[in-house]
Amino acid sequence: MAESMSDNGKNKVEREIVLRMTDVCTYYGAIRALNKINIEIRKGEMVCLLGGNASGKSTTLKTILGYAPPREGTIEFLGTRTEKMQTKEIVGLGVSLVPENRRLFGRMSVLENLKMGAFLRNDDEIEADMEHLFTLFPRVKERLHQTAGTLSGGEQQMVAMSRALMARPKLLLMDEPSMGLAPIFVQTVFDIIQTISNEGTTIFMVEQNANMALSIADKGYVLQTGEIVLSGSAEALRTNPQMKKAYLGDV
Amino acid sequence: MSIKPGIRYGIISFGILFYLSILGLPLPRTLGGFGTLALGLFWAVLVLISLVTMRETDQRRYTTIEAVTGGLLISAIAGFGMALVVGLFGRLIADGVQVNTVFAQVLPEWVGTFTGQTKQEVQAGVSATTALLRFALLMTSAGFLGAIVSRGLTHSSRERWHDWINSPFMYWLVIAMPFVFYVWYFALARGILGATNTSISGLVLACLFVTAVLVALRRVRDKRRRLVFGIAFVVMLILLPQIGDQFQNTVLNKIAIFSVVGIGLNIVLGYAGMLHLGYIAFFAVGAYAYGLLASPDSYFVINFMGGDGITFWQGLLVAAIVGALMGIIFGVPILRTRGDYLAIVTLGFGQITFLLLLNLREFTGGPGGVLDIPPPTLFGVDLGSAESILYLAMIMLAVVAFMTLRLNDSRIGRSWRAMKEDEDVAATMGINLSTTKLVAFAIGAAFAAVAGVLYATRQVNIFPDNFALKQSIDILSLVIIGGLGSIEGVVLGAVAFAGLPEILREAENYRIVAFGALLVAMMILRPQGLLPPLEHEEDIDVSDRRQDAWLQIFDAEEDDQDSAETGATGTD
Repeated sequence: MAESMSDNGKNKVEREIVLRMTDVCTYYGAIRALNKINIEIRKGEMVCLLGGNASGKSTTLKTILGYAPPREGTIEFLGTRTEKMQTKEIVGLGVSLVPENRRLFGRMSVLENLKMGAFLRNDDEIEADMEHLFTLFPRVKERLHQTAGTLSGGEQQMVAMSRALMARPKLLLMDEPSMGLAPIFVQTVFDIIQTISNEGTTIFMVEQNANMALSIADKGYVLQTGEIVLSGSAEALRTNPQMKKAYLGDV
Repeated sequence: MSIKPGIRYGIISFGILFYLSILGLPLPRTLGGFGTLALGLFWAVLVLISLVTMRETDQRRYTTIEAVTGGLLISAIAGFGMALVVGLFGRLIADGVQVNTVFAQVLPEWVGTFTGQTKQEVQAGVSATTALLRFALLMTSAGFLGAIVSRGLTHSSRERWHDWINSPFMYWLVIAMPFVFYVWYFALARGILGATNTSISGLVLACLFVTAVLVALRRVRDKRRRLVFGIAFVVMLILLPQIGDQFQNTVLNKIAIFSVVGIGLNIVLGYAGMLHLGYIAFFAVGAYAYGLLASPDSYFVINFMGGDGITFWQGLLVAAIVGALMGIIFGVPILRTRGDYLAIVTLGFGQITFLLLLNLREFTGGPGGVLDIPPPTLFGVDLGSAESILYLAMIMLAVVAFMTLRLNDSRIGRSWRAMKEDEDVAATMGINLSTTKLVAFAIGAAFAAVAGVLYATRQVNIFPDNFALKQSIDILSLVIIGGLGSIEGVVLGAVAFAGLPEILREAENYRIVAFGALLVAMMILRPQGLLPPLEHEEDIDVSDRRQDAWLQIFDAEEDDQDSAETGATGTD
């Protein structure tokens, strides 16, 4: 069972719930990948999902996005039940993903990648949003007409984040943003995530780098073999002795 | 060391030579001194290719000694191996063994091409050791020459090669080539050069002209120059059908028609990334749609249309609609299949269409085909000549190419390419995968069907055999050889697949072997195709590309003092 901890973070004021997963179970065939997951993300929050390999982190994101629809439980996104929806419909509601390992459209230009991000948008502010992103990621602007696959890992991560942000997401999902990046770049990426969060984007981040993730998150969940074993404010998790032992090491 | 790869490539080269010779490829040695020279050159090129491949595998340059030992090894193994095999076969034939029951081409004459003996001498078992030794030594020395030449190539660095390719001389040479070929073609066709029987050589020049135009257009990046040369090329193309004779125009219109089909397949495969092996079905549907509704002998025209068929222009419209519908109908069942499975299912569709055309005798004429398909007419003028059809095909090609270019840069084009690269991520962008795929199928199929109408009227009589699996594979190969995702590539592929067989008509039987070899060589040496789509990097200086994030440590100081500091602590 999930061991709930007292919420003493900075979100004392009750804000609108963006995503609520209630008793969600996801199966791959006969294998149960997620077991009665309960997650709640409020507007403007940055929530991280921690856990080791094969703990079900990525499955959680897939479940939210409708790739691996849950067999039981409900998912509510801004008041809409999404557990039976198709990916494109869920994306249409305002969920955006920065996939694991970036997964850019490698043979398209950076600009085209960004345009793909704004695929469902039809307003006149796309250009303005792009300009705004360039202030966050000056490097992306420099590389605008380059083939995305030729960028370095860090630059690709920036493009991947820009691409996801081009959709003006109401919830930004990030799958292991630090994976495969040079250590010096991890800090930069997390700084940018922090900036994005400060601008008001709700973020749900899956990470293995627990230390780093908890340093910028408001709230965290810890997954272990498909079950949430710990949850609470980032601060509480950071000081939790069990957590320290299992994931953080001696800091 | 180059000894081990030398031995390996020697054996491979021997295999290639043996394979070609038992297929009965006539060795040019029978042609006398000139033939020997040709054989030597061919051999030298083979050694050269082997050495370049060796270098690519070893990822380093060879020294002169290594290249020459390697070359000698390759050619000696293959040359002496070949001599040994020929001697062995000669022995067997002399002993009365019926070798040609296994190797159909290995006749006494075959042995004779290597040894210089007559049929009788071979059968009598006259010793040919000296001749074979001479043959082996000839091969070895040719290989030696090849090795010396290739050393020059393998040793010159990529940068020098790059500089040479990008020099102004090469630039203007590439631009000049279309004009050279065009004038040459004109002079030849008008008899200015004094040559007679210019059909084939003229066709070669016309094909070279088309190729040169494609290469030049790709080379000229400057917008204004592009416009100027583009207009010049268009004018030349408009006048092209006036130069050639009927044979040349017939081949050229086939090239144009196959280009249209290739562009259609290119949308499905090159943009949307779906390997469609039965694509010829849509071409067939277009051809038969027009044929069956226009031919005065057709079941439909006689029974339902009172003997009056539709016109060519109506045929285009009908084919486009029927083709698009077919694309969607064939597309729905395969929406959920990917990769290998998709290929197999589409292969099935191609076969089904072929078998239906063959077996629905009552409607389609079965193996007898559809006959007397009327030519296009415009204001009562008959447009059935090779020249008119070439004009129609060029117009069709221009329209289809323009539409494709516009599509490629549109929302739907981007979603095709995104879907091709990563279906899952494309879906998280909000792309409706099913619709996007179906649109690709519908447009690709409509293009093929429209081309089919022109093909039907060009052929006058069409038969199911025109649309068999072989044609499907031909179209697939032309798209891949030309360069997936690029229109110039497809046209070049069409030149290779529709033009080359006519040029090589004399050697028709070896066409398939030659194409097979070409395909294999292409896939190894240039997997992206002859003219692949351009990358988006033209305005980026290579030195400006930071290859990896950690290299930024070095620019971090000037860029951002803070990030360098936090980065340093972060790595602890």
